[in-house]
Amino acid sequence: MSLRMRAEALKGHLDGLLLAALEPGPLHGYGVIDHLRAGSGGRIDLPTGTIYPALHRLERAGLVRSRWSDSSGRRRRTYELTPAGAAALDESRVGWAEFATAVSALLGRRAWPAAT
Amino acid sequence: MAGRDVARDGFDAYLDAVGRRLFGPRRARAAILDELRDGLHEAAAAARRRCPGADTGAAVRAAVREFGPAHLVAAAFAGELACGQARRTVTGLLVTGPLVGLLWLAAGSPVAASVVGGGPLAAVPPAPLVAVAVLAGAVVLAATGRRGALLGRGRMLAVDGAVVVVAAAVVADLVMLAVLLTGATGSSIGASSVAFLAGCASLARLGACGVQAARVLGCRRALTGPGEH
Repeated sequence: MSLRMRAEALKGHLDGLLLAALEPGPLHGYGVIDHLRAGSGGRIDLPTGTIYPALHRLERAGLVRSRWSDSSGRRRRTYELTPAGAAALDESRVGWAEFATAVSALLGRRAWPAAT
Repeated sequence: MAGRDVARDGFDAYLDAVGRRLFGPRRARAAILDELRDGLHEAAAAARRRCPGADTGAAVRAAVREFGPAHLVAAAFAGELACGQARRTVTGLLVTGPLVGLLWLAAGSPVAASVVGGGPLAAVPPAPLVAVAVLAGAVVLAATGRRGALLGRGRMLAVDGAVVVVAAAVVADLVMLAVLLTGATGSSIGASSVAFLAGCASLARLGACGVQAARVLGCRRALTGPGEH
């Protein structure tokens, strides 16, 4: 059974993944795709048509900003996190940790960890 | 050199197919195609790294396959393009609306006079029309702003709101022009140079509304369509 995750399975977490990809530094669109693929060992291999529009939407939301440059005679659009994007990434991490803990508790029949 | 030509030709055909299916502001569409072209070149380079023996044609085909069918790629951009088009259309009309309105006011406010006079144009109350346009415009700006982007919803609402604003502008301009041409006010508006200017402004805006309506409705079709055109 393939371990490649479908886009539907990542629905709701795509923004966080994209923001996390941009956390180390600016990347162009295909660089983001490559980062997700390499960082997940090939398990997260989202369609190109999903990534570019999502980056555009994140820019409209003020979470990333883009700039154009020339690269090998081509126009290249590079994205980077904004301060609002960095804050949203932190929120996304907290949300994912809670979600993952809850699902793990249910799937693995583990008790919900006591609050410290 | 030949390899570069093969790559350009292969990507041009694919990008043409994507571009034909994009609806929205021209600059945004051009930017999308530039960005996709860069991504395709990167994907082809990655394919060559994976298979060093592969020729350029094979790398180009692998890149195009990786990006997916043109109609699906275009459909994925429909939402953001629709938001951009709706926002652009509404902003343009909300900015020009008061300017055109001021010209008509300076020309003698014929609609107000016709309403008071109880003529056939009295059935078109200008104030509620302006209120509807402003309200719909506010909805569009909210749906296409940062909050709307975070929620990832409201694209169809934005497009429909833009259609309402365009329709309101068209009705308002037609009413004013009808009043000017029929002399419904009985004032000296027909002889006024300001009235002439106001009429020209309304005519220009009607033309712009036609263009904007076509673009917004194109975006609407792209949003509701199955992705295959």
